[in-house]
Amino acid sequence: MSMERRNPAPSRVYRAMVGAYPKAFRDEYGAEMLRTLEDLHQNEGSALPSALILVDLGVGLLREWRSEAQHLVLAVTGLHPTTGGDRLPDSIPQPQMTAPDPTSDRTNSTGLICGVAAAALGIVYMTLAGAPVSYLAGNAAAMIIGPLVFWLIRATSEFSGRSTDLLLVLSSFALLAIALRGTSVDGASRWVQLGPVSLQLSLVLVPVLLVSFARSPGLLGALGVALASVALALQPDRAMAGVVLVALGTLAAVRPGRVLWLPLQLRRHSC
Amino acid sequence: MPEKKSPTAFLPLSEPVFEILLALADESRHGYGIMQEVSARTESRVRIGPGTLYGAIKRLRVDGLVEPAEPSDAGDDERRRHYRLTELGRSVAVLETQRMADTVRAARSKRLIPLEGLG
Repeated sequence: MSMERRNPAPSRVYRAMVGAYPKAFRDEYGAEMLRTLEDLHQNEGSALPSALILVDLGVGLLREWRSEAQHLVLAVTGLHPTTGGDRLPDSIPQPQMTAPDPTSDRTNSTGLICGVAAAALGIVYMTLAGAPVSYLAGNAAAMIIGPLVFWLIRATSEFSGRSTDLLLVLSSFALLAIALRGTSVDGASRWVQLGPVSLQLSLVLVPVLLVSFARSPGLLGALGVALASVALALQPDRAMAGVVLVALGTLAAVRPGRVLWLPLQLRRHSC
Repeated sequence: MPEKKSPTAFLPLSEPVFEILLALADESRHGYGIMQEVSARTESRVRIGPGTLYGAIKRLRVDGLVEPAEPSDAGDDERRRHYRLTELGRSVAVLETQRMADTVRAARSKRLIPLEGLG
């Protein structure tokens, strides 16, 4: 007797819950879970109350999505996972991170291709629209600067902790200098004029800073991020400050550590 | 291919994980079979829900402690996948049991439980 014929309501709810799991998990275990839920429903009736099963499925759902998010962040940042020990999962299992993520190189390459393609499309669009040559030069410069930043971020993984800290502090001072002395547009001082090219350096420095900090979250690095946060807080809008806050929040969830709280606290106060 | 760890690296195990390994110690079982065995053996003191069970199985498989097994009943629903312990999984379960036995021995020596209370 199928679960639907006996009582369709739990079946629909269980199916919806299982269907909300991440696709990879669902593909591997979804059918099995539904079969087990049918067994439970048919053989045990109210022995394990549906509410408890739903809570269990809900907790599992959050756990698997959290695991997916962690894998995504680790893949994007190229971080080597830390488990805080080699323990197997307990009642709230830790995501499985026993080996470096083999997709990180592919993810980095995909990001690079997307960035270069976006800049190239911009050049095509502006050419068709009859934009001035300086605009085209700006996008062409972006196509050069982008891969350079990509190389810089990848190179930081080879740095020692001290070099990464130095990079973080220099980036944060650069952001502060731009906030105080940069070219102002609509009240926001975030542009640097290099001949005909205007660069919004925070778009370059903030990702470098965040990825470097994620890889080497030392005290000096934390102070660098805090300084950068102050620099961004000096701007009239909160776009980049929000990016830093979200990134640090994500990092705190993925790689909890005391040192992360310093910039997060400062960020909260400055927003 | 996941990096092979030493069995001691997995200790201590959480209760649900240890119960799952224990359920698979004598024979292969499918998910619901594991739930039934754990519930019956612990007199319903431990009940593992499907969300916890399959989350743990996923990670146990990645860590190489359990693996899929051929079902004992050929006519079984194909959605029911059977699992069994790997050699590593058995070693981990044995080590965890020894760790627990040491703890019980220590508790006995401190008179927290009767000297002959637990057989």
